[in-house]
Amino acid sequence: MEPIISIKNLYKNYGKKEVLKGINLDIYPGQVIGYIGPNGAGKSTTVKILCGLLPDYRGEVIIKGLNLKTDSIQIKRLLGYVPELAELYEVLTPAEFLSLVGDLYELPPETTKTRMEKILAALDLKDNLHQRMDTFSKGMKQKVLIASALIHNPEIIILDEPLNGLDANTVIIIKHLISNLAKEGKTIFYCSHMMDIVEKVSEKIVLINDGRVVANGTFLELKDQLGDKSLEQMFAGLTSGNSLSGAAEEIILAMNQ
Amino acid sequence: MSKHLTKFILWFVLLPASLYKKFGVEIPKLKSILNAKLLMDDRRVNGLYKTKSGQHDHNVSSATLITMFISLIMGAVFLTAFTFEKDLTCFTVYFSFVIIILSLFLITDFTQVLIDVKDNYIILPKPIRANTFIATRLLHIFIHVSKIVIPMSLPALIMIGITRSVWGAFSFIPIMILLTTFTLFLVNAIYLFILKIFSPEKFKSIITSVQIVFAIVIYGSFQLMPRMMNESGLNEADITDYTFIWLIPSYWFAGAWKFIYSFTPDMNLMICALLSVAVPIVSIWLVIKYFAPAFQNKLTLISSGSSSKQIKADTQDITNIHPGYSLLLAKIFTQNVAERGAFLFTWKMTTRSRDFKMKVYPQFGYLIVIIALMFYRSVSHHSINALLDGTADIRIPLLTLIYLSSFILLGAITQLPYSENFNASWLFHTSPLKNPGQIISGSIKATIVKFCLPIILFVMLASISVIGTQLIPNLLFGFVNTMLISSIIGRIMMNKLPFSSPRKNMSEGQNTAKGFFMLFVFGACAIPHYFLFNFNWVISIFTIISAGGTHMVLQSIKNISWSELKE
Repeated sequence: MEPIISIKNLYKNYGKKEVLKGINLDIYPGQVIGYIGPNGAGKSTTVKILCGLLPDYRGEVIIKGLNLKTDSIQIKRLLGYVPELAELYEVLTPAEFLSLVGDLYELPPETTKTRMEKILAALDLKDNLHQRMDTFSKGMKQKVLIASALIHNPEIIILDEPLNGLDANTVIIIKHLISNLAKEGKTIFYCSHMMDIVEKVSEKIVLINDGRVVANGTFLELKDQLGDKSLEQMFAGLTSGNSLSGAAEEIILAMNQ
Repeated sequence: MSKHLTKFILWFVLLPASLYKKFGVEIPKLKSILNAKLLMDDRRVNGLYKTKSGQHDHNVSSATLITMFISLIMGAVFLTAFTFEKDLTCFTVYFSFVIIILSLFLITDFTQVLIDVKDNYIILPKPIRANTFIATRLLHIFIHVSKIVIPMSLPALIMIGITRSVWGAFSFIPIMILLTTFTLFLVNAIYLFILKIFSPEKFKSIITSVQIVFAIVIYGSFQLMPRMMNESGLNEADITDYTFIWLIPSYWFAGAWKFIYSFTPDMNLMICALLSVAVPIVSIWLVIKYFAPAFQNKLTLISSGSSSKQIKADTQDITNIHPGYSLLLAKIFTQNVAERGAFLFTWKMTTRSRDFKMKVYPQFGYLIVIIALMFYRSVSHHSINALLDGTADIRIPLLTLIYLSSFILLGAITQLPYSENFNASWLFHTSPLKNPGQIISGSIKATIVKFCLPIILFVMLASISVIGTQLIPNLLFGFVNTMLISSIIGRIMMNKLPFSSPRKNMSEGQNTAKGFFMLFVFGACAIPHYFLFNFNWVISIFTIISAGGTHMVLQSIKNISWSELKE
């Protein structure tokens, strides 16, 4: 099978600082990829490159047979993106915001309307459809962003820390949503540092550290390679040189001084 | 410089430290809280200052000095009141200026500076006595108000010392203190009133509107007051002729000053003096007893954002996402879905974004002031009759009026790319649009339709009904030219997506270059128009050419590509 996303030797610099140091990755249709790594490892940078937000990268990114360098418009049509921080135009209402999104994807306004109404109803935001988002909690904004990533029925859904600020019930909805989307044949690129959820939702886990892929495989494969540990322990082992419990001890010591 | 000022203020307000201690105030805590508050004040931009320059909040470090300087200038403008010859009239006018401007000053930064709700989370959970906390608040308010009032009253103080007597200047000081107390009460009352009538969500936008009005009032008073005072025979007016004057608080304070200054046992003056002592004292009592607690509760509500739960579920029909006419206008003026989306988006953002309003709306106000000023002048030079029967040259006033609307647009269009919420523009970058130009053109069209069309229609109707239909060809030509100018400005200025960038300071050079360019385009359209004014056929042909040009420029905006965008 052809990979739907194929990343080869991906490099990216911010000024002199090299953030991605040669990422290689193949993702197949219908897969749920958990993309994990510590803060500053390059997770969000990879995501932004995939979404076409950072065009000046080196290396090759092929999505559904299209080259991201040359066919970014067609690729963008295939993608739905939930950005990391709940960034949206807060003075708009969800209905207004989503109709703008629909217009940008050139959906017929009627389609946008029906879809947004149903999606937001499912996310329990039906009553807030016409309220400005500046009064919304972080979780409510995140739900609107999730709706905005799905409204054009994309084939690939890229989620950057989608569960930030969501309450427990919504987390359950999103987890179900992810597995149902995967059943529908959607490919999901799930970027997070919350190990327990990644462990549950992802078929395949890609762990990056310092701009490089350090582990790549299903949870069971990783267990085979790295010993029978929890994902959290594997993560700590691969990404942190010194002992993490040491840090806690130092804090206690400082408090007693 | 401002560091020393902060140190001095701290030292000064802590002089009676032993007295505070008797009331159970913890002096070291008081000192460190006040120190932090003063530091924050110094880094905060005053509402007025914010509208005037492109300065970003982050690098301000001497806001205090700037505020004091502005107050000083305002105080100097108030001196126009002293052109009145009668004492009572002159002081009533002066005190009215003080009450109005001081209230506006305080309203704009009351929530930010004086009653910071963050205190609830940061200071109150710490082990600190209630008395200490109250003392920091009161002292902070005292310091903040003094920073405004002292420079503001300085020019008048000197003026009174020179024109009246040193004793007159001395008696001015207690009156100013009473007046300030009264104004504080007034501001409190206004705030509570706004909070009572409007929902906490609306509150912030009301404050923004107040700030905008503030900026316009100040600008207008700079421009108009000195002129009006000089030219009219107003300076001999005597307000004591009117009994309604008793309803105006500044009259009481004027009477009180006169009473202390002259020691005349005049019944009216004595009543004034009594009122101006009693009212502030009663109002302080009211503030402490009733207003302050209610106030605190309401403000906590505003910032917690929990109030959104109280809004009733909207039963509005899903079909009305865009209220009636904006959708209709969008359908008329745009050609595809993306452009229409951008049109509607800009339509809403320009109404709702506080940031945009703060920058652009005051400019409209300034323009109205300028027009008022021009009108005022032309009325004093020509008679209206001469304009009406066509004997006077109407070319200059009419053309100025027409082409001024393109200046309004310039203001709006140059602010279009900026927003506090700029991070949300990822949305445009992830969208599968071939050209971002569609978004930009939708956005520019919305701005033109929203900010220029109403003025155009108004000027057209007004001048046709006053002067007659013979102006139609010229009006049309003028407005098509305005469109052309606006779209050219749009083509050149808008190399960014709407509401997608953080606001940056424009360099002086860029501003000048922009100004020159504007003048050039403006002149290129207005000067030929002036000379062709009476040749209706030529004007009509040029109207068509200009319309064609506008169309071409708008099309070329649509074709702006991703690579032409500036980050």
